[in-house]
Amino acid sequence: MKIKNYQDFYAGLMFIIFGGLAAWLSTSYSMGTGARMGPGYFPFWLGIILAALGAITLVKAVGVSDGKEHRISLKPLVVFIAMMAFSLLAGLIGASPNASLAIGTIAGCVLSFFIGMRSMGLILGAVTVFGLMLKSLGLVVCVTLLVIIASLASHEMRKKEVIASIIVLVGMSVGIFVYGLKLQMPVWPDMQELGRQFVPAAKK
Amino acid sequence: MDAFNILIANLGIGFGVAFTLQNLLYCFIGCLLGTLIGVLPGIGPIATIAMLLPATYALPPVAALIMLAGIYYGAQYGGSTTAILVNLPGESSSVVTMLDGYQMARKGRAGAALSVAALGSFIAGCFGTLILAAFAAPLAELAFKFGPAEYFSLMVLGLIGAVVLASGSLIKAIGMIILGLLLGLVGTDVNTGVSRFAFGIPELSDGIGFISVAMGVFGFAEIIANVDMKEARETFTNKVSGLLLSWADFKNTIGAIIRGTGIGSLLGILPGGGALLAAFAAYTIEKKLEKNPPIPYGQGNIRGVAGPEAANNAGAQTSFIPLLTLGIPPNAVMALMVGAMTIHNIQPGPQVMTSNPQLFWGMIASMWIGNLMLVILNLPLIGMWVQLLKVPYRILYPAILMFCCIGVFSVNNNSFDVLITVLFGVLGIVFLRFGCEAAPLLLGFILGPMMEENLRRAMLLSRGDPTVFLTRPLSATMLAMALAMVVIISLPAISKKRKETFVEE
Repeated sequence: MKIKNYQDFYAGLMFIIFGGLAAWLSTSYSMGTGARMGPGYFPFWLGIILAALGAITLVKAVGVSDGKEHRISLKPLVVFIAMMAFSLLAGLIGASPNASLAIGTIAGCVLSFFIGMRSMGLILGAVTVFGLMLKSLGLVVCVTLLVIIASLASHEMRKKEVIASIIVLVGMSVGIFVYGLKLQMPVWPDMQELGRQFVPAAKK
Repeated sequence: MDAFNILIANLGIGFGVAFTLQNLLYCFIGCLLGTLIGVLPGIGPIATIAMLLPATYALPPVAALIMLAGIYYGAQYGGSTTAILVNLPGESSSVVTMLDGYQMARKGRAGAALSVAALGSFIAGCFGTLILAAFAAPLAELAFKFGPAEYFSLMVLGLIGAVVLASGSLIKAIGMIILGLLLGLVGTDVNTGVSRFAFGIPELSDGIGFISVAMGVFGFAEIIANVDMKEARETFTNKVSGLLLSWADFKNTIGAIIRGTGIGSLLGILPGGGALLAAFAAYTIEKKLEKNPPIPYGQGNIRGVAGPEAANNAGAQTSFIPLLTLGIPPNAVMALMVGAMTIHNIQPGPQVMTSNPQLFWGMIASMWIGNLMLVILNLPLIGMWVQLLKVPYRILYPAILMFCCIGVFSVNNNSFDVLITVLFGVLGIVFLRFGCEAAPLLLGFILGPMMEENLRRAMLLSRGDPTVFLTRPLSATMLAMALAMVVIISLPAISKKRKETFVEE
């Protein structure tokens, strides 16, 4: 038996994993009865159906090969699993949910940078940095960082254009979001907040 | 005549609301911003709405919804402009416009293609708005007769319809729906207060933010996929002239526009219908009707632009009907609208019309105004959109990314949402690689909690007897229709034909 459709094969596998996981997690909630469904009832059966659909997809993807190779890259999936695994690990050793997720996404971005998914790592890395630092570093610094890191993802980047982009975008974001829409976000770095972010004990 | 008078009275209320200076302004801003983002290559209406949604938070509900509707039309129209000039569809429904529109642009007729698209969209939009206004009241009346069993079956029908009419593998699409339903259940269960799939994380107790899902899977994933592509697009931006449609072109296309409008209005109402299918159907009909076309289809026939554009806009309009009357979003864009309404504390459904007629009719009136604005806005401003298309992608994407980030952050003012969006961005790339469509996921995500709620209620009322879905005639009919759709589409002959239609037209 050979895999004839790699896309379907892995999609099926993914459905089986997600469905199985959902069904398994649901068993820890009360199932209830048909008339009075508990919180576990609906997700449990959804998980089972998803896993079953995954199995059908997977079986249909295996068969006589047409001779052509349609291998596809599993790297994004590896990155996703890495992000989840690192977050879980950080959570288990006592990091706060926010910190765990931050550790997971950063690890995933670094990983994707090294396994040949450079642009994904840089773009999502830029987003992660922006999201994490906006409260402490403020909009001006964060937009600058975002544009620089994200621009590195393109092979055709030119320094002058990046500098011009930064000036325009910093002006636009402050003008539109802070003064125009009056969103609550700091414009300039706040050293106290920055300190609090890295030394959680200082919060008290 | 009575129904007609009521309709006029209702539209009167609507125009009264929409014609205030403030709401006209928001409608205008919405159209402008929607076109601005929608014209950018590779960004469809879903990503555009997700990106611009935070800009409407601070507004009063009526103004916010009017602006969102404006954004939607703007994004649709912007997508057509890009399809004609750059051969790069921002959304699947523009694919059809691209076939002949881009060829017209190559032959120096970009101006005619753009104006016929605008004209077709406008005529279709006017008609679609009328249909919406006329059908809303009777359908909402029907909706009040629906019990939980009917609602559950209707959602099943809607979800199945959405994937049957879409392209790609049926089983995988259903899988994506169920994955979406599951993701929608994350958070506190409203009936028991139990926190599900949240792993004790307080930020997840309200569920995953739908902006995070939409922005990650549609926004970030698309940007990443586009950055990796080499820039090899050929833009016909210097040849946009002759925006006024000649009389001969008008006479040639008016039939196609009317046919497209009819098809689009009809298909838009169907669950899962909407713009894409309407555009495909209209194109096929035009191709069949014109026996000896002066210019072959696919090589720049103007009717191949007019019909699909009209159909696509009419479908976009009438797909609001199931949302506003039944509270069920028929496609992913409408699912986002549900999210937007919930943020403003409006539960979409039949009660909106009676409890909040100002909002309901105001929104319908502003749809027509939005369509008019698009024509007024786009024809003179086309030069500006063309300039925008000349900006290379390497400069555009950091800017797009910045708007996405600020948008996601501002939902709850925390970094957690941004990180969740990053996760969904990776997942979006995974889906792309595995050939899994993301639109059904978003639809399932929005419908998940509603579906569970109605299933629970129906089963409670029937004391645990699952046959209730089959013994109530309306519910049984809808389930039978859903089953029939799946069976028909799985027949070997039809599934082969379906593949061909979506690959080559």
